[in-house]
Amino acid sequence: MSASLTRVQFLLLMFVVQTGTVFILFQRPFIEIAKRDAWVIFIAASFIHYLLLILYERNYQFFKLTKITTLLYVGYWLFVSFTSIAFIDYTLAEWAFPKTPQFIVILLMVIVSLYGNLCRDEVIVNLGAILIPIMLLFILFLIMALDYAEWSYLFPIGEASITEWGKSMLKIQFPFIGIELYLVYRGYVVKHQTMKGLPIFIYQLIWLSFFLFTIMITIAFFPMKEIESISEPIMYILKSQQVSFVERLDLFFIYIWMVWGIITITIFSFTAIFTFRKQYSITSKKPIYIYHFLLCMLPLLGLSKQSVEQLQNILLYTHIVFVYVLPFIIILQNRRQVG
Amino acid sequence: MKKWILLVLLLPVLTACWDEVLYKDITIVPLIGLEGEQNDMKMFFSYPSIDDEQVEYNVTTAKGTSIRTARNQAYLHSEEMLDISQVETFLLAEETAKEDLYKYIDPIYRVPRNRLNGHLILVKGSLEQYFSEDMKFSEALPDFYKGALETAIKFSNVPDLNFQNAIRMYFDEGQDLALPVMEFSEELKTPKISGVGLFSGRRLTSQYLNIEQSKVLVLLNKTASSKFLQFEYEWEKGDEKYPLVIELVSKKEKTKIKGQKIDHQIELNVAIEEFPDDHLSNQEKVNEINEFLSKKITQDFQEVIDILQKSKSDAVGYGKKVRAFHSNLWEQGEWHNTFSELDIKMDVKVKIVRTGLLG
Repeated sequence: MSASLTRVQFLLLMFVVQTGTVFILFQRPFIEIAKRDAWVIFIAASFIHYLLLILYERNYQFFKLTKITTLLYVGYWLFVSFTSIAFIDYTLAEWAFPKTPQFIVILLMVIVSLYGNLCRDEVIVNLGAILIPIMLLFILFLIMALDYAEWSYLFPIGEASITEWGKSMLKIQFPFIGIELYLVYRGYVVKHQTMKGLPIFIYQLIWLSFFLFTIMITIAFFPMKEIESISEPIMYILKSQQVSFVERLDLFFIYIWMVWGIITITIFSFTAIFTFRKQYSITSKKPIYIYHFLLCMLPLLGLSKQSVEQLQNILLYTHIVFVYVLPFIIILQNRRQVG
Repeated sequence: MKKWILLVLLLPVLTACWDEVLYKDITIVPLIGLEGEQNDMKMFFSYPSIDDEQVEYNVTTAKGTSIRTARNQAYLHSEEMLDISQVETFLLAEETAKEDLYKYIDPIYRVPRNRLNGHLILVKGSLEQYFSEDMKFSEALPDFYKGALETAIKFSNVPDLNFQNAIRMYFDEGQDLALPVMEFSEELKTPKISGVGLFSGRRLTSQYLNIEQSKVLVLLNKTASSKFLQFEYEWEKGDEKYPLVIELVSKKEKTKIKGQKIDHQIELNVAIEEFPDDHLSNQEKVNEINEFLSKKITQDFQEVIDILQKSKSDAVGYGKKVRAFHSNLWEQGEWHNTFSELDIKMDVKVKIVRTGLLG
């Protein structure tokens, strides 16, 4: 990558990637298992996230990919991207475009990513900046639902069994997806800007507050039995808001979410292509076209509700390999070689 | 080749064109009614049609096994494509509501393009009379029902529960639903709001609260609005009786739950709206009225709680607090049974804080 990142650019990129497609998807499956303990479990899980960030910060210079591990990560990021596209496409078909052929919506998303990847690196790095006002709008819309929140729904806590804690810890991995990009991009942050200490802590707080708020508002807005019957509770909260400027706030929001999702997919695609081209010293643009061709075709294999859910379940397990296991092995191996 | 590439690149621009729904192609139905049981439902649809540049509301009926199938049947004998995505009022026969309510709300709740700010009203008797074209109103039928309910909500005669809030309460194990009820007034020859129907779990009970009792429920229910809530009493002085009308200014409440006992203490600050006996500049008199109102209102509140307990309907939502903070009580058994056996004591303290222009 020709560009170097400032600390803010880097953390914004991380936040976009980590929130992107998952921020409306994970609440229901997670709360379904963890019930009212969901918000407590999330706070506990956030310590793992913080620990990961600290470990990544200490060892990012040892995260050097080989040709094989590069291929594995490219495959993983492709998988994350097309699973996200399949989920966005399915959700859009449910909420906004039931009659629009689904491949058209996929094409729309992939073309934006393709265009972004054909541009200069700086375009991708700064793409997240256009989301800042949109993120604030999204939070504002959710705050409007606070009037209807029933805070007694958040209690009692401490009722989840050990098995439920275990299962919840798996489901709560959705907001962790993309954290491995810290290892990829950390080396490009300008040298005089440190990440240790306060910057990482602030990022952790922002990440925690954002997701915890979406979990708590979901629990406080719906009775537990209602959450189980709604696939995207955040969308539903927005649907039930009445505003004077738009008939359906959820539709307004779904376009926001689509833009957020497309930018996330563009960053994942960029990461995969850039890592691949760097590792294999390829300067031609052929990998960009091939990657996006695959990105267009693969989601078509799983556009039903069942397929989307299956893909997401598989994604959780593969995520564990690529965020916990592989980085640990790669870092350990490289540390030994240096030692 | 270039033309083909260009064509493919332009395709995504058409996204959502397939989903275009034009108002000229559909007819919005603002008022629907439903009676009968599942698998044998009769639906009523009131919809606008333009005749000689004037909007008139027609009524059509159809039978079906569900709301959707009845609507599809209605297409067969209606010149319009009826669209129920923007229903404002849904009249539901009380007999129908004695079955699981969700079966009837599901098609409204499930489809993303449906509005959730419409209201449900339970109606007594046959729905035919509520859609009769013989009724003479100054406005269209859907506007009459919408207006009547909105006024009742505004003056806190009934709780403000739109589809979303109603369904939320339906799913809530700690609070039961109470929906506005309409009955046909023989005297007025029109329908009128007559109180609320109490649900126990997912079914309507045979117990109702009249308008005065319904106001108490609105006041007790934290989710309800109490902007223009008035209570009417009679003040006796010798042989004379004077009307005493008060309006709620503010409310403070505390619920203490201990064992099987709930102490519900409420402090009401009120304004005197009507009291021809006057002399409210006399503090002794004010104290006397405060005491009178406290006693009367406590009695009324206790009466409502007794009805709720008798019908096993926790429409106030004590269960929410019990479930959250008193797990021993919550786990004693099915909440409706536990609720009906609790010792609930109301204690209302009234304080006159405004007396109007007259003292």
